[in-house]
Amino acid sequence: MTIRYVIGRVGFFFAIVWVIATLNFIIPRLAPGDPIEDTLGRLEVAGQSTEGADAMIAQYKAQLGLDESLFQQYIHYLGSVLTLDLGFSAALFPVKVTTLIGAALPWSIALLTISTLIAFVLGSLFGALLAWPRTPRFGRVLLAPFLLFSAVPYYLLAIMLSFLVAFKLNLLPPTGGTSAGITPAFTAESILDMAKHAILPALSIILAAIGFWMLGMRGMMITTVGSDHVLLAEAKGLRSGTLFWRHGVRTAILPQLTALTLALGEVVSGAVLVEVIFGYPGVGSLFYQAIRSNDYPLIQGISIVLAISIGLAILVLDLVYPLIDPRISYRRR
Amino acid sequence: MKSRLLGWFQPAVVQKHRRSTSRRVLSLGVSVFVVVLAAVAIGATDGSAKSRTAAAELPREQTLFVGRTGGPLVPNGNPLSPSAVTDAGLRQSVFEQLFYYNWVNGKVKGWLAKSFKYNANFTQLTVDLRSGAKWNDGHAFTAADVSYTFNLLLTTPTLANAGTVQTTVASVAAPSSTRVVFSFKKPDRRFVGNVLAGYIGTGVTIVPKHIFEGQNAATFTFWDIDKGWPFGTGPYRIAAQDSIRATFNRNPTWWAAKTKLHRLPAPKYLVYETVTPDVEAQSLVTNRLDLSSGNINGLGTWRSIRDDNKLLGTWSKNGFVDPCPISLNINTKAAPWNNAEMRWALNYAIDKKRWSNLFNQTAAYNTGYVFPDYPKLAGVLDANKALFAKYPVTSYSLAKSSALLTKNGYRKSGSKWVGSDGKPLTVNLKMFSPTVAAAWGVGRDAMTQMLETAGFTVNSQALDFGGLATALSTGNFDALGWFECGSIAEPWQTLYRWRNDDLAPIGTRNPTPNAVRWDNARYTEIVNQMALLPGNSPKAKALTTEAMGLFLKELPVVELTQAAKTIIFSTKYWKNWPTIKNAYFQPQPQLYSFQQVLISIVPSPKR
Repeated sequence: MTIRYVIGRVGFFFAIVWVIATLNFIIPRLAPGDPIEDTLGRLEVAGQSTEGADAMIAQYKAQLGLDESLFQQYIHYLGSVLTLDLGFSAALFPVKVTTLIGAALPWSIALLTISTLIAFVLGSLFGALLAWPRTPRFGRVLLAPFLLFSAVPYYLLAIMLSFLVAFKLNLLPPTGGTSAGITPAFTAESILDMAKHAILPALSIILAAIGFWMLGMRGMMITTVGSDHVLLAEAKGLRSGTLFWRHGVRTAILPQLTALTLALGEVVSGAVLVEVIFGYPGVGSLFYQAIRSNDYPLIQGISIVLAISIGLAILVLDLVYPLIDPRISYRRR
Repeated sequence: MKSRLLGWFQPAVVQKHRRSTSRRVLSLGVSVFVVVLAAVAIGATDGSAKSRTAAAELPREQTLFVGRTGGPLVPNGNPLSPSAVTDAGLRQSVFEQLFYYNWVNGKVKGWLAKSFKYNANFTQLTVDLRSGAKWNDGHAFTAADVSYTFNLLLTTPTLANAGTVQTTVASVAAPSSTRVVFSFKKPDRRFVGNVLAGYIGTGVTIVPKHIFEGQNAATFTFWDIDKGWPFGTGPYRIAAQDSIRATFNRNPTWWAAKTKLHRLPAPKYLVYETVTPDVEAQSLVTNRLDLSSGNINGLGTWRSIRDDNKLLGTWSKNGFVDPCPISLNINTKAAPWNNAEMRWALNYAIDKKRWSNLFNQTAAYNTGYVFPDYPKLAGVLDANKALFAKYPVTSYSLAKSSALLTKNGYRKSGSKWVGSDGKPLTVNLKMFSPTVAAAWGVGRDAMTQMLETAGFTVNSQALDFGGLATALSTGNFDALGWFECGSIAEPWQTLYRWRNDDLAPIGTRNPTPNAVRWDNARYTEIVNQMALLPGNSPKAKALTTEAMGLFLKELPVVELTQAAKTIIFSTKYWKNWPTIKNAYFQPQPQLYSFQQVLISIVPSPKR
């Protein structure tokens, strides 16, 4: 790996962030309505008089920079992206975008990192077992239904789990990040309570994602099982477990790691519908509300965090991949 | 590092085996789990989600759980901020109003204020406060706080209600610690009800001068739970909040209990929790929630869950009628709908009863007038039966619709009406998208189908809240579904919406609620006269009849349905909920007036 290569990849990272930031600026402005009218409409429906609101609208537009030309707004917006000062939320003024995202981010990172890793480990293992010739028949029968879950949207699983586990069986709480009265803290009680509230949202994500990882791993494992190094190892009389783990799984898992890195890059965006259904206080719920209320600054803030996160994941992957797989090289030959 | 990574991923024939893969994966997984949980614990305790007191799960039998369906809860405790969350407990339990408006009997009840008096020509109002009222940080609540709050509104246009106050109020003074004097720019005999009593969602909430002074009220969030912010004069203090749930602890030193105005509320803890409609319904069935948001999916849901939990109840079998009937605004500046006969043709083509039933998922109703069907307003309908016979606004008649269209030069081409130029008669219909409320999806489909069946060509568009509000205010529509919030106890407030002051051209935001831009000089003259009369005076009644005659003749707005809200309560833990038989106050938990319900419920023997 050369310095030129590293600079190229870092440049590519900034290019990705810039393109996404630009799209992110344009797309919400193409939608009908604006956040100030939205707020006024809600005030009116709540029974408030919005008469004489012209001065209010003018001041709000000035405070949010919406009275400037689109080009000026764009330049200010790029400046705010560079400094990570994302300004005020339009629909929740005067709360700052960074305050809102900062409060929601830990919840989504916790939920999605853990559920993505669990789904990855189980899905890859089950996929490898499905392709492994010595897996017993009953094992294959038991594992196959997980492939079906990949065809079920995760929000549908979420609704079913909520109804069955939370309400009918009353085993786990149906909503929230904690129980009422428990606040997040680094104590055993609080962590256990948070874990209890994360089980159902996590389960719906894990069940829906396992099939995806299984399919990928099964395909790679089938190719690996027929390769020369596995045949050689088998001819040497190695134990079945050694063959499976050290010669099969370890070789087949490389492409899965690429997908895992990208999936981990997306954890900051939250799982929108699952978080809404389970009332989970993460970025997904926040994003949903931001879109509903045309809150440009908040939509832009969340999207930028997501773009940076995915861009960083790709950058890390690009830089690390030649190290973990010597067959891969970006050097020109 | 490189060699270790290479070794890990190379085939085992060239690698020395050190640890089993499963142990590595396990240790990695556990490490990630611990790190992530630690991160969330540390991260989430920063900023908004702090608590001073709440450290253990709340005892169910001492806690009141209320559902809500609004947007995220945010760290903003400034009640003057227009985007502050108003439906999640702060306004209902932490802050209090000077007066509370009772929709059932149409009267205002003094709370932080004990009485008011207008001068003879309604240009001045004197309000006397209760002595002994205190902020929850121990400072006395005085006239200086009231005066300071209104002066803030007079000088800061970005604050909630600033427009209304600046239009009406000339000055505010506090001649003593318990007396406030308002001077108006023009006579206003309804200022107490409309502005001081939390009328529907209106009402100025007083802020503590000793905290707000020196702050920029437009950007001050009044939020730091460690410092006890936000605080008001109410019976509860905020204990914790994240984006979906707010928790409050009862305030044992509440001024109203100390002064023996009212006992402490029975629930020791109060929780407002954001829920989806499905979760809300199931939470009521299992008594997880004590009270629904009122936005639950119509009466149909209530009827489907009431048999699953016999402890559930509601205001009445028809729900609680919302103060804002749902209407179809018809743009009087957009041809051909600028012709009253064409508006009537549109009205005759709509089967309002069927639309109402579909929208509400049950047998709902419409009254034909754009007021809520409240006891104090029923007299308006009764007194004007002849008018409604002359203008049968609730009728559904395709024959009458056809007759009016033919009279205005339209003819049928196949199943569609076309003009003399052969162009189809098109209605640009705009309504809320189902993301605002599921009922609107049904409502828009039904409306489109009815108008298409009647021969209109319909361009139907579903918009989110901001999109529809923009279309409404700029007049960018032919027909648009909206709400008519106005009257509660007398017809004036609703009628006043359609005066012709300052009408803006299409494409420009209209400064008044007259979004249909109906321009009738005599009507405006009448409603301006009514503004100065008591609602129950003979003169006001006569003017109401005349104004309604003009309105019905020209029909700029069609009432589609009385909006039934199903506010469901559980009697498992708490009782004495307001019902039609025990109608001490309106039941909606998102209103400021819910404070009156909160302090009136008592423990249930069924717990």
